[in-house]
Amino acid sequence: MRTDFIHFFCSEKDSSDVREIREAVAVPVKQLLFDSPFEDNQVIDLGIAVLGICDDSQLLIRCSEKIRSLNPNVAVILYGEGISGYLAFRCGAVAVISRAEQSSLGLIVSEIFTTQKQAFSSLPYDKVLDLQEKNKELEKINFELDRFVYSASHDLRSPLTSVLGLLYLLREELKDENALKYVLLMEESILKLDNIIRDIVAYSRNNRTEIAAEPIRIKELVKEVTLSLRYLETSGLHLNEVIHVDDAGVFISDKIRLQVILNNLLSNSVKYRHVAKPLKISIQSVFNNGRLSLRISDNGIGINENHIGRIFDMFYRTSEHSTGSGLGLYIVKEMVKKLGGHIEVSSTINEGTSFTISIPVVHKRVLIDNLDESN
Amino acid sequence: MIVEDNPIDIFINTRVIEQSGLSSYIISQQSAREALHYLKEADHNNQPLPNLILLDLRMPDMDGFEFLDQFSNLSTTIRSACKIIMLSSSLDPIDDEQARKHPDVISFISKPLTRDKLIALMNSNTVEIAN
Repeated sequence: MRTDFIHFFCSEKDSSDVREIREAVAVPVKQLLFDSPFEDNQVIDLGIAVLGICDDSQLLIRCSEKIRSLNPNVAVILYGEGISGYLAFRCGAVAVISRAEQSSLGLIVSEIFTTQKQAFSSLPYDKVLDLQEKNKELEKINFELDRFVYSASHDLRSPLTSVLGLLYLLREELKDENALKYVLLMEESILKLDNIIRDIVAYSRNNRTEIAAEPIRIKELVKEVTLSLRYLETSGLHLNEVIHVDDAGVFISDKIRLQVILNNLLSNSVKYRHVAKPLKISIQSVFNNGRLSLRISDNGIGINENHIGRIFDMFYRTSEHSTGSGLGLYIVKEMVKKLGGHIEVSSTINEGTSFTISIPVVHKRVLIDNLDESN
Repeated sequence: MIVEDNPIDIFINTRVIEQSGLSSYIISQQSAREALHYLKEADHNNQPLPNLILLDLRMPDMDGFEFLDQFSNLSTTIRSACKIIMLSSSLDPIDDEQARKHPDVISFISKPLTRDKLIALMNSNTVEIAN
């Protein structure tokens, strides 16, 4: 006979007599889920959670997820009849015991404690608790830092965008050509400052945020990036006309990071284009063995071989003519690294530069194949 | 209607709308609270409602998102009359996402507002702005 609630927790010192503990601390699964009688730290203290099987397996799965979210080190044991392997897997159970085996519960419990003790032998249990506490604190600090960076960058950018807005208006109304030249130079300086702020935000974001996963198409990504680079366009240069994209289909990766990577590489191609020939940029994407290889080539002025070994260094600028913050390619390299990939560069003076990025991705075709298999 | 705490940005947005020829009747409110009050009063007295609201995101006291929460509770007359465009200098992707997810927001524009951005938006959205 299945009971609708029995489940119980036991702590190390009580493990000698499980039956007694069961009577002392048994709590209905539903109660644990919806109004937990435990404080968070109490559950952290528990080394083992024994979940009595009930008719509602979904409830059981959610319950074990909750316990494990409160304490990832907890060992879950399922207790009852007719427990499927699937259910045990979903609950993350380390052991399954039937009512007939109840007498061996004490043995299993003490075995688990021995293994846990071995795992933490270099760390006393209170040290583990201490580390968990510190980890929580760090997560909080990270979150606050994240908010601070966005908040500070917003406050720095607000007056800049106001000045830019006013300059755009002034440009429309100015008749004097000399004055117009000054306005354009002011615009350029402000955009440069704005880009430095964007670089700093992107750098700080890359260090703190986890990798995201969403479907991406290179063609669409490039379209979005060129929109944000429109300020670099001049009367004779329209980015969507000079960029050629070979799209290899949908894949899963971190969209914001790839956007920053493309943004920085494409803006370099525009900034360091050759004055004597029309700019051409080609973007090729190829999937191979779970990796995306992305090659961005231009026909620009190229990079001198004396500099090429250092272009990914922080604050490195190749010459006094470099207009950026010296952070752009450094951020590109750091982001590619964060995505588990690598970047290479080759360049010939007056011929052009080409960057090749290789990152692990999930290709849409693979996703579909896997889905087919699981059905 | 422009909802914006910074007078310089109110000036810029007003000029850009005038230059784009989108509307010659532009009102501005310096806080989200005043803007909500204006909408309720206009609705109550059967006065014309703004077709377009340019809403700043970060404002003291009540910010753009709080305005949107309150806006959702307003009468259907107001909600169907006013389309909202959010404006901000924020680089936070969460702001962008949250704004775009809101059913009453038609777009999120990063500041400054320019004639090109406004016209491109109006062409992609069939928003009719009466004078």
